[in-house]
Amino acid sequence: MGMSINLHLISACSIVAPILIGAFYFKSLPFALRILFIYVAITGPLELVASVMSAYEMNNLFLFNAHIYIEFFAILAIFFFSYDSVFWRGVVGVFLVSFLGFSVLSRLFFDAWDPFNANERYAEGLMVIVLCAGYYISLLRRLIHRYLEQQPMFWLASGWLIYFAGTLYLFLFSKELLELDSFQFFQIHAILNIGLNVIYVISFVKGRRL
Amino acid sequence: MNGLLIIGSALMVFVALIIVVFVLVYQRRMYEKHHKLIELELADQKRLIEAEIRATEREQKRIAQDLHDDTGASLTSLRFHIAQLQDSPQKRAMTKTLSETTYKVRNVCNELLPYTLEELGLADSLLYMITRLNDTVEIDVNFILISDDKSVILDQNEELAMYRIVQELLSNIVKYAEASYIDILLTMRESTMKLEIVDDGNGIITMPKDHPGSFGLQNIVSRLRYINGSMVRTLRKQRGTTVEMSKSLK
Repeated sequence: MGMSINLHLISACSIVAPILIGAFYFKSLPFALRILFIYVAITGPLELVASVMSAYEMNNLFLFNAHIYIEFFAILAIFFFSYDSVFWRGVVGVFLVSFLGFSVLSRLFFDAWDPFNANERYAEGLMVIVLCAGYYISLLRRLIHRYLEQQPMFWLASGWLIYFAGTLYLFLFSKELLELDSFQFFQIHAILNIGLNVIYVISFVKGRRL
Repeated sequence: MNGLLIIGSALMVFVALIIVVFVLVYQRRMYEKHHKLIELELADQKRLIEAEIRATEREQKRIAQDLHDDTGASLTSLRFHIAQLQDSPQKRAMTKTLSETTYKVRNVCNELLPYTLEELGLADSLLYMITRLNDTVEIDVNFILISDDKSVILDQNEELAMYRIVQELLSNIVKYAEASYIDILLTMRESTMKLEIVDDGNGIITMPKDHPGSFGLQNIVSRLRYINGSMVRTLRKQRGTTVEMSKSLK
């Protein structure tokens, strides 16, 4: 229990690292990474408020609901500006419309605002995984980078792929897990979240124009 | 439920990691293969260009030698015959025409086979070419040389290629650019050679394929590729073009 809380705290605090590094390099970042910075800069205060509410045992799930939209729109925008293929840019547009449509339907017929909107999170995860696959496909089709590990977008796509693949089951069964008060849920998510924030830091460092 | 969840999530992370590593390794291999192929194609192209350039040079040399040996000899014989004629306005007119023809034939010979290159090296040959150009056209052609040691840097083929490139560029400027001046700056350092040609002409950057000057530009590109050089052409703000060519030297 104690370890889980510590891990959760570290996970919440880990967002500070990409915010600081992103702010430091902001002027030398390309447009896509500036979007990422704006996203982490919004996520930071959200994490803080969510943690404070959690400490006071208040229901903070509505914050995560709002965060899903911010996160998904940021990811879509980053992919949109990173793809050089018209097809995959089109896919980004289709996903945006589909997600909004699905979101409205989900709100109307399945989830209310307050309970955790597992369906949307699951849909988001699946769409991001497809976008990451699209990015990899375009990488393999156009052999322009000798060292992929030097490309910030490769780090981002890999980070999102691992994070969303790892949390896919968690969010699919999140309602049941929340009812069971499962701490493994928080632990797995916290570990993946810390990893993702580390990848954001790497992306900012690799992406700055020297 | 919890156990299944952990296994499921761990499995998904593992699969994602495998995908990432696969993309990384596979892309690197594909990249290497692709670039090896491009290098081979470039080497093939270079060989072809080399052969083409050699054949052209050989043919030009043959024509120049024929001109020198046959036409030159005939002109000399003609001069000898004219000299034996009695002095008259016709004789003076014939002598003048003969001198002009001899000068033109010598010029053609020198353009076809720049014998100065072997004797004087690139820099002095260019200077010679520019001096002659200044005599024949109403364009102010200036030449500046900055060099550490001009005689040892380029091999014979490279010098000939550079000479031909300058020849082609100057010919294009004279024919099409309507320039009033041309500045040529040749910098030869230990590790690089840079040739800058600046004019105040029409500023033609790209020519249609059927433009007579476009063949010359293709020729320049081929010769640059042959000597592993590079070229940048920029349109100047007011008027004219700057052509910068550089070549790394071993």
